[in-house]
Amino acid sequence: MAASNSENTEGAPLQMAPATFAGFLEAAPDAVVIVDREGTIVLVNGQTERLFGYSRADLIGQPVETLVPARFRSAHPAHRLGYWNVSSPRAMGSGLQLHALRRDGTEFPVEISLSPLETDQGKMISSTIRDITDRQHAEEQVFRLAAIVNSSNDAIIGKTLQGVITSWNDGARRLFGYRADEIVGRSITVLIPEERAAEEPEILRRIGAGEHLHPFDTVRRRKDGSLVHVSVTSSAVRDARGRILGVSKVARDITERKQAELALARAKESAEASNRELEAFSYSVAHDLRAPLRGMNGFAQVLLDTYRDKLDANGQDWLREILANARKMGALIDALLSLARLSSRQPRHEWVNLSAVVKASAAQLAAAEPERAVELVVQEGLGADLDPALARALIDNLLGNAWKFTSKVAHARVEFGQVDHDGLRAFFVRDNGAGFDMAFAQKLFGAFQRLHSVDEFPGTGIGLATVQRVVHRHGGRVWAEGAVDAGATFFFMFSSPGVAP
Amino acid sequence: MPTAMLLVEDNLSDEKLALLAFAACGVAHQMVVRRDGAAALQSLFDVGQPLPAVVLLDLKLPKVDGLEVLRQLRQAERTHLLPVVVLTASTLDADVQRCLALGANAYVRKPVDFTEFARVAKTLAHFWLEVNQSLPDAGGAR
Repeated sequence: MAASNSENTEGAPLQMAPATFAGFLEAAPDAVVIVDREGTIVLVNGQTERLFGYSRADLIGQPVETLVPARFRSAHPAHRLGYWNVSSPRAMGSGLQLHALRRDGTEFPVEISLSPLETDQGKMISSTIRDITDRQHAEEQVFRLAAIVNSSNDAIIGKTLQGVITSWNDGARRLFGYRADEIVGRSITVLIPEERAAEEPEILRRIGAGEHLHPFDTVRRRKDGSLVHVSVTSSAVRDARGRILGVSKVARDITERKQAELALARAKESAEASNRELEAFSYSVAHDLRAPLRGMNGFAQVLLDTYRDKLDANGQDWLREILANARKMGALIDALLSLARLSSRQPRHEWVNLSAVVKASAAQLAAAEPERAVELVVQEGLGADLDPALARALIDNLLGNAWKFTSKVAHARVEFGQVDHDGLRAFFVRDNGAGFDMAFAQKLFGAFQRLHSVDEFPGTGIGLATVQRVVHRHGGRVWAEGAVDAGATFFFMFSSPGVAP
Repeated sequence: MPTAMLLVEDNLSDEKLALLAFAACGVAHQMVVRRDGAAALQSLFDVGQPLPAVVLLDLKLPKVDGLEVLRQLRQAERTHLLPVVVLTASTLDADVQRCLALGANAYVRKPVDFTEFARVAKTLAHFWLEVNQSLPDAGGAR
């Protein structure tokens, strides 16, 4: 082997002790192939073996064209000789896409640099061959990303940690109206309305500190001065070693979303306003209805009391019918009034121990009907942030409902507890009473909706409407499950977690 | 002369029913009726007339409403201790609070059921015409 046989090598640059030279060769990160004037391989390093799949012995003595793909092979010797005559270090085929051939016949992209080498066996050429497959992939990736960035509908903007714009895609041009050549190099603050001037330094500071920022909605200024609602995602751009080089900012036009949100908020507001009006209206109607009803009921009663002797059995019976109907209407109006009154309250929010409220409410129901034995099962320590008075109305109505519909079963059982529902905690009141047909589950919560006749289970049909109203006023939801003669379960949940703090 | 009660009520049916209910209360009294707030204030501020033992005051009244009547009664030297029972159809918590804050002695909701109304009338008459009258300084305060 040429270099290993050399001695007295001081003088020319690449002449050195054979051991040292071999060491250098092996330590080189790239494949090194040394050829003589005829293009015969005289020396290769370990990287060459690995890269091309040949052993050293296979390559030594072979023409270097072994490593050149067949289609370039015939032209190669002429190029080689051309370099021999120039003989200064340079890149091979600069600007051209070079390929090399492995033993298994596969090709791969390479970058080759050539340098002349003086040895005691004469001049040789050393070629350093680097596999650039990965780099080419990375470059393709960059081109592809650039294409994506440019075709994106979102504005994608690069900036330094000082807020100087370094890149500007087509989406940014469409969104903000500036061309890249007008704005690259300027400060990002040209896009920021004065009243939001504090946002940018804060974003840059937090990104500089390595924080991860969530997208946020804000307002930016276009070239023409108009404002646009955008959702902004800012993230750090790092180099291979993880150092922050700058900030990439993706801004999306959310004008339409904002308008939809605004329209929704307006619709909600107007629905709430008309709801309030309706409630005020129903209060005044209910209130005003009571006056004539008092008259009808009162005079019928006075008539019955005062003129009983002058009326026969039929006359008395019909007066009693008038009284009974007036009383029924009175109860309905009262129920409607208390429902409307519930709605007019501005709810307070404090932690309410619902387990305790359930027990208190049940004790009252039990006291009112001492002859009944109802088994009460209460899961302890359950509560939520609620208006205490509304919470009491909620529980009173649910328990009253459970009490009433278990009046005809032998072993009445009422249970209060909590279950997991879609990852949130839902409270429930379960009874083993008359139940209901699930086909009517939606009707349960309407005012004056009744699924049983008044003779079967007396009531005004307003209790569950009250329950629903209370739950809705706290931003929660309520629903029921049940089957005829198999009991009913009423679930309700609020957005806040239902576990004691 | 029997003890007087002043009923301030504009609804004629309610007035008749009140008269019937109190007539059956078993306590001797004379019922004076005023049909609006202004007339009620006028008769109560008339120094030539004795004050009633109690005022039964509706809230929804023509000319001067019940709350205003109550406020003026509590401000005047002559009537600031006069017992006033608000007898009304309103069930609003806000009305109850306002009346009590203005110094009403009681707030009674007019029941629809006449039998219950008669019971309420009896309780009211018994307390304000008999129990309350027996306080030593009650007469002097008026």
